[in-house]
Amino acid sequence: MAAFPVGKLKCIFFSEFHPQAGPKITYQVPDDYISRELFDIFSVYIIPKPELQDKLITVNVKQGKVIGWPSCIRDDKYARNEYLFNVCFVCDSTTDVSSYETLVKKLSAYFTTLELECAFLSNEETKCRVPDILEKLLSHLNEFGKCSVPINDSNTIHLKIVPPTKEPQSVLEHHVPMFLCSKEHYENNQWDLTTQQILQYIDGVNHVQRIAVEADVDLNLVKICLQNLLYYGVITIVPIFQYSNVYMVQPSINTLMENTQLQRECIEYVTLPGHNPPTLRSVMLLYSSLCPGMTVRDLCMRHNPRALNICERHLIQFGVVKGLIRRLHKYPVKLQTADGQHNGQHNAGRNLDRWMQGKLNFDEICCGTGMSHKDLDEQVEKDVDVSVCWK
Amino acid sequence: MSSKVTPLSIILVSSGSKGYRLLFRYPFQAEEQQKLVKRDQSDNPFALQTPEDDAYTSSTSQSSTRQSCIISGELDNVLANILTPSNTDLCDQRFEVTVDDVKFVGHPLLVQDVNAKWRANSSTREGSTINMFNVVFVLQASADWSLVHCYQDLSKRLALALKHEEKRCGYLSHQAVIMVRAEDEVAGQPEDCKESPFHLMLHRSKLTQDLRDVYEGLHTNGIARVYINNWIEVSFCLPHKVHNVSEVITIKHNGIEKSLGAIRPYHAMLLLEDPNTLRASLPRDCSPALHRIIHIATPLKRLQQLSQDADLALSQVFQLVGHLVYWGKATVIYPICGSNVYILSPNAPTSPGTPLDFEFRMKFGESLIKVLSDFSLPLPLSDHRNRLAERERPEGELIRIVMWLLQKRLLIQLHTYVFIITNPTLAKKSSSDDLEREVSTPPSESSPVTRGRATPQGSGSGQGSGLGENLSFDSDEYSVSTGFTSFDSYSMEEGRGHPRRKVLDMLTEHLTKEEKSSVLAIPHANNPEDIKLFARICPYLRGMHHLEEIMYYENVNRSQLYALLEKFRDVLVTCSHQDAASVQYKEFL
Repeated sequence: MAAFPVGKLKCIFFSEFHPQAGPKITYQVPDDYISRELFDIFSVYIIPKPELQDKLITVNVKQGKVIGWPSCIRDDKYARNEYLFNVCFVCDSTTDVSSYETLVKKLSAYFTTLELECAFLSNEETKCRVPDILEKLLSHLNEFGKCSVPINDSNTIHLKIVPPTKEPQSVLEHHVPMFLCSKEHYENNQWDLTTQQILQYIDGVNHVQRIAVEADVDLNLVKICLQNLLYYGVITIVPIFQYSNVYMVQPSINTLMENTQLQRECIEYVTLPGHNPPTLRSVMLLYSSLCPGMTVRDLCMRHNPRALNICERHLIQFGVVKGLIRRLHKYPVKLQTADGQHNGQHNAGRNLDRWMQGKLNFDEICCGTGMSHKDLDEQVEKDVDVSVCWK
Repeated sequence: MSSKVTPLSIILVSSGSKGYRLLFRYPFQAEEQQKLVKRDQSDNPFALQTPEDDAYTSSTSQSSTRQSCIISGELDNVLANILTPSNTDLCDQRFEVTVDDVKFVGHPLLVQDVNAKWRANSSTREGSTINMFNVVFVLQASADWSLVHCYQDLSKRLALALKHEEKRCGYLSHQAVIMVRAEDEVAGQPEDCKESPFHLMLHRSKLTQDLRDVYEGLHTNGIARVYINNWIEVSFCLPHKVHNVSEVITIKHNGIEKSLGAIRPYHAMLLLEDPNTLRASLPRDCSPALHRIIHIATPLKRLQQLSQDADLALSQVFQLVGHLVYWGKATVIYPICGSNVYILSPNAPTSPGTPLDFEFRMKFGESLIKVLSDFSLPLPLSDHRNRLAERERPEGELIRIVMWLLQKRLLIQLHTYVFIITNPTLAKKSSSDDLEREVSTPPSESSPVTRGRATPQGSGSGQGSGLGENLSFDSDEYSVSTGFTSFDSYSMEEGRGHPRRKVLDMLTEHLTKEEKSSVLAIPHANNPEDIKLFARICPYLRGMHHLEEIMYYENVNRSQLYALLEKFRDVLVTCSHQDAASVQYKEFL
């Protein structure tokens, strides 16, 4: 899912319960974005009854969405023994507001602190600084996605929009991490020490287990670091490259034909170092001959990609990363037979049974048991009770 | 259990001369036993609790063990307040308020204008009038907006029906009086033997039963159908639930419509339910055409054929099929035939002992895994038939198995697409011989189809219910009703004027200059028949149309097409993958 840009904020306003006038918008940026009449429509959600205070309330009004966190400070010094205020964000009704919600809550907490510490909001002198603050918040958040507004010696408002991201897929032992951009770009000191240590082993070839061994880092730490990198979109996970792998073409292969930019990228990437670039036709031929039942080894034997100046490893990698092809995994499933003694015959294969419940594919079994792909294949072939599914 | 898409609660609120009021909400049962637990656990009444059996409770949702106060009733008054917009500007439009973990969506409607009229001629009411009411669905705050829109639409439908009935006979006011009375009655009872007023309401008021039915219907299968006041039918289907969408997929608001637009005349309809049960469940006043089409539909028959057999216009068949698909009763596939190639869907369960495995065993007496492993390799269906014959199974069995697998969405079909990609070095083609050999690997359809043309396919069409032993497939040869225009006769009649010129014009229209010259450089291009056929299919060579589509649109048969692709393999690349149109479509079907 492409990270769609977070919709811009339209307006930020500060509203409070005035002892005489009732709920009102005291300040707003830009000015007069929300008219008095419009505010009256939804003021019940902005300055609500006590049961709804200190909650995140979002309300859709006309074409907009208003997110607020009504706060209440109880103290004898106020006109009605309590002070009610709410700093609200306004954006389009189609905007996904989930990334603003935490900001509203935090902002409200800042203002509460300021009021409690130095009566920032009840003192007219300091209160008149609010529009300036709102102005800064609005422009900085829309422009940079974050802002820091110093208020006084001890308080600074820090806000940052964190775009909604889905949880990165979990990294497993047999996965191969691969950089999405040039590696040099990232080799600096912004990462933690562990990440720095494993960074050099990420080359699109080594799988996670191997990286852990080579970098001499605990396997679980490697996984966590990689997951972090994955979250930031620095790396991606590709299946481990083996000549026994099977891939199939995806409908998005059409993009390779339509998008000349992608074509150039692809041809540049798959070219064998030191050779002339292959033709698009050769590349397409190789991609299109990938189908269920055709291993990379078969592909190489039939077409000899190297004679076409194509590096098969890069070809597969490019296809997987761009979603042109998809790996088909091999799932061995041990079926229970009616006659139990049949199983007893191959004791060697017996301990494999628990791996063959249909949930694990060849890669996972190999990583888990330490068997080689070939050995496992032989075991599976030998056992008549094992069915193999590709998916 | 996709609990994320079903509502947490349904609430009816109204405001009128006596102020705002929460008239009814469902479910309410939980309140007694949960109240005690909740008091000490939850200081946040809007924090959400999901029942233990929900699939996603296992996630790290921090608020998952707390009971929502919406269900416990302490906040009824507050809810009535915020759910009845005091300002008329918020009425008759989409309504959405989110408080912490829960989202309230609805469609408030004003009824005061009609009410005034109604009140004039029946002054016996006890003075309580309704100005505005709102049927509110309570969702989780994370509900995406396509879901919110669906519920707002449902709320609007219910509200419009209620408004109509209110206008006609004061139905809503009448029901509201019953509800208020029940509440008063309970309030009058001594403290210790209090039962829920809503419980009493369910016995007395038809409207509350309807609302309960809506809620229960949404929970069980995503379909709600009620008759408001036994008069106005309100039916609704929640696509998110009906189509078993996993929770990670967001349906775009027009996703369904788009998919329905992808239905073509050469597709077939596969019912997802037993036709007889389906017909029994249809409303009494539904179109007889729908009955007919369900009766005669088989997954072996193209929609075009279906429209002929049912004697309906093709466009009407499309609408009916679209309707059934929308309601989750059918899906659209390519007709099952011998040349179809299937592979496993990535979501197919491969472990033994799953419910699907069990169901399959019951039905076919075989392990699902075995069959899935048979379908792991992309073989044409006719090859499967041969393998099945070895196991001495009746022929119709294979089709039933494939139907079942398709109904459960365990298979996906591969289609062959053709690209024209010229080789810049084609002129001096010499060394790349072994490369080109692979260009087209037609599935083992070596025996050209012979029967399709001769046998009128409509003959076996009357029996829809008897999907039995006589199920068989031979080819997907198209005998279009307009008569089979064989390619030879086609070329004969057209071949008079300047055939070569015409062909060249067609090539120029669809191909680039280089492509055209490469095509013409191929020896077979000198054969007028071949180049003519090539010119006909050249609009389809950008990988957007699969062979079956080309066959359908250009009325050529499979063997002709394969022969042609073979002859022109030097400029073509064929590619097998899932139907691009159905990828998005399959996501929610």
